[in-house]
Amino acid sequence: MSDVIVVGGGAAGWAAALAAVQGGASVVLFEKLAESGGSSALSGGCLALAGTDLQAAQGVADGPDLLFKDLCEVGQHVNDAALVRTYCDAQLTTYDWLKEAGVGFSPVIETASGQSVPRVHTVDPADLVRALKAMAEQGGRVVYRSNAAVKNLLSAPDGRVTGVQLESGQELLANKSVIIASGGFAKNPEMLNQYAPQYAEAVFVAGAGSQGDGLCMATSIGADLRDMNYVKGTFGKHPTDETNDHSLQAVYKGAIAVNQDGQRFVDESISYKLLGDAVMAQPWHTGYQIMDQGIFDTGDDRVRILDFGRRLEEGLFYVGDTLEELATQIEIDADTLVATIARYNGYVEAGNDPDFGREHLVHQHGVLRKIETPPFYAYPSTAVVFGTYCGLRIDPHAHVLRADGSRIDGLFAAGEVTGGFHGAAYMTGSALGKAVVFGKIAGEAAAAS
Amino acid sequence: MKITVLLAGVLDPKWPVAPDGDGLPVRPAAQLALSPFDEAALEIALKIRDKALDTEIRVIVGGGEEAIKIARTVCALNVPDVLTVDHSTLWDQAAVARELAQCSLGSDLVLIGREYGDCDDGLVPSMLARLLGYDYFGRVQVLDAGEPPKLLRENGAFVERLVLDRPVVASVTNDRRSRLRKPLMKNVMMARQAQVGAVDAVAAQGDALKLAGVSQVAGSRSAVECTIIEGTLEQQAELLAALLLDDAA
Repeated sequence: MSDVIVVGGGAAGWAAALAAVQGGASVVLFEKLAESGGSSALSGGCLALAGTDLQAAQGVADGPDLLFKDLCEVGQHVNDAALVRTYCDAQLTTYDWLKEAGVGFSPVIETASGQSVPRVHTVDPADLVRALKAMAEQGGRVVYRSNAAVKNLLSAPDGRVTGVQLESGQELLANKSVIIASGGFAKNPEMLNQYAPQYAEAVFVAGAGSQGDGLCMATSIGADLRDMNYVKGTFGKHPTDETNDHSLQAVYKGAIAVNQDGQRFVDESISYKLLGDAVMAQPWHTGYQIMDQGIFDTGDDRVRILDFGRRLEEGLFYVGDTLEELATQIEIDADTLVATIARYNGYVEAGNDPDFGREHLVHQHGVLRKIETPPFYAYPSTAVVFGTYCGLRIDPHAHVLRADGSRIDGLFAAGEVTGGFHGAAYMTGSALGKAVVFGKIAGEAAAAS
Repeated sequence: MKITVLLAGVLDPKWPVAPDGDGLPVRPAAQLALSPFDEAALEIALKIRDKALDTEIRVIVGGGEEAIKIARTVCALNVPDVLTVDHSTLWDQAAVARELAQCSLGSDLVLIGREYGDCDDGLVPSMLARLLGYDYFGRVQVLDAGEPPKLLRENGAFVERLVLDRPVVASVTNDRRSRLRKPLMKNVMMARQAQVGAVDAVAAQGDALKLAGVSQVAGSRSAVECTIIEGTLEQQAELLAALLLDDAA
């Protein structure tokens, strides 16, 4: 019998396993698929961190308090402030811990959804999971079982979780605790239809194991849920390309978003989750990010959500020497598109956008740019659901809670399966950040329980 | 100009191939996709239409009901005239060529993916040209969009261009310059409702189109003898020369 059972082999699961081992526990980690990695490995590899050496080297003044303020603002203060505070206070320690585990960070720091300053730290997400796994397995105290789906939680008469039952029927007990890190439900059509019917026409990109298993198991023994009304897609996915799953955020570099009628429809600086909501309400659930050469040149191919050059090479941009030519290609009335751009450029000149109130490139960062230097570019964009960002209610120590706020003893959760942290929207890098920060917290707490 | 584009469709390689009871792969609609050769053939047709808006494009997709998904993919590129042809009878390259010829009558240009229906033997396109009485231009890579537009193929430093001033069957290979454009989402959604017709394969098998001597050519790939040349470079050169002299004799 092991001390701790971890369900799920994504970033949260392996962070929990590593932290539990470092806390002196023996661990069994169950992954239902053949390979671990989960949705984490498919993600853009962005972590929202504040106050790092990489930021300091670039003269970026940031820290836990500004991160806390931004996370609460972008979450529209619906998020659980205690969880947000915990994340902000733990993220720098976790950053150092990841580096010690062998995770490599790109020196490039960018600004994206919900951020007042550049704080997107980029890793290879698959490598991140592999590094955590390798470090966790180093001491021989982790048993890794792939192709092993957990179907039920086992409980004692007093309600304490004591172990798990596998799909095969096998039951395994844990000396201390069970940690659920099984991801969200972006690959479960029934749950999506229940919680996010407005995203029926969106694109879904997530690990095949994101079926909501852990969420269902925990709720069946009384766990409470958080933020289920806030399932959202990310704006910026090319709607008809199947080769590049990542969103593109040209709007955060100064592009505007127009719909198929050639009209702007939103303040483009807001969280890309809210942009996702906005684009899903447009005709054909699609818009276009429109920019000029000057904005295009500010892209960075080392950052997946800003790799304009790579997308151009992949044939995903429409390009026109004039706005009229561009409009023809994307089947928008040319006069309308020209008028929309002229009006927007006038707003930039005047410093006032009476249509949608856009003031910055992203959140409260960056000066707006005119769209005026040919050639002009259009990137078709709809919403993509990468994750569900809602789920089990936990406390700052990653204990799973009931509706009355009491803990379910012996049960912890981390990563995408948990709710309460993001609130109504989402900051770039906070999902992968949440996975490792709360995975580490859960592992430490489970080992100490 | 009237262009007919012939698209085979292939099993999308991201899915494992599952043979049915006869050992042939199952072709479910959800797992079919355009091959790179199909895509290049279609893109060249679209580029010609970009240059000359009065160009009429008809697309024929090989297959039955399962091919309709691919047909709708084509519709989404603003090609309203899309049909399927079901090669459901026992076939060889000549049979496929006959059916495709019947579908292509009256076209000024026939564009066909390099591997249509022949496991890369390259016979179907040339047979098709013979049946239609058209010139044949193989392994086209890209459209030279100058005036007049020309089909272009390269071999090392050599470039060949064909002016489209006569009826031509052109087989198309993949080339990054002919990567198929992406459809607009609105057109994808509208194409979900598109009506896709079907060519009657039985009618297409009439005797009107004759192809002499195909029985000696069709299926010949499996009958080719192979000799391995071994030894030093000089020995290999001598053996090769002897083989060529024997063959010439």
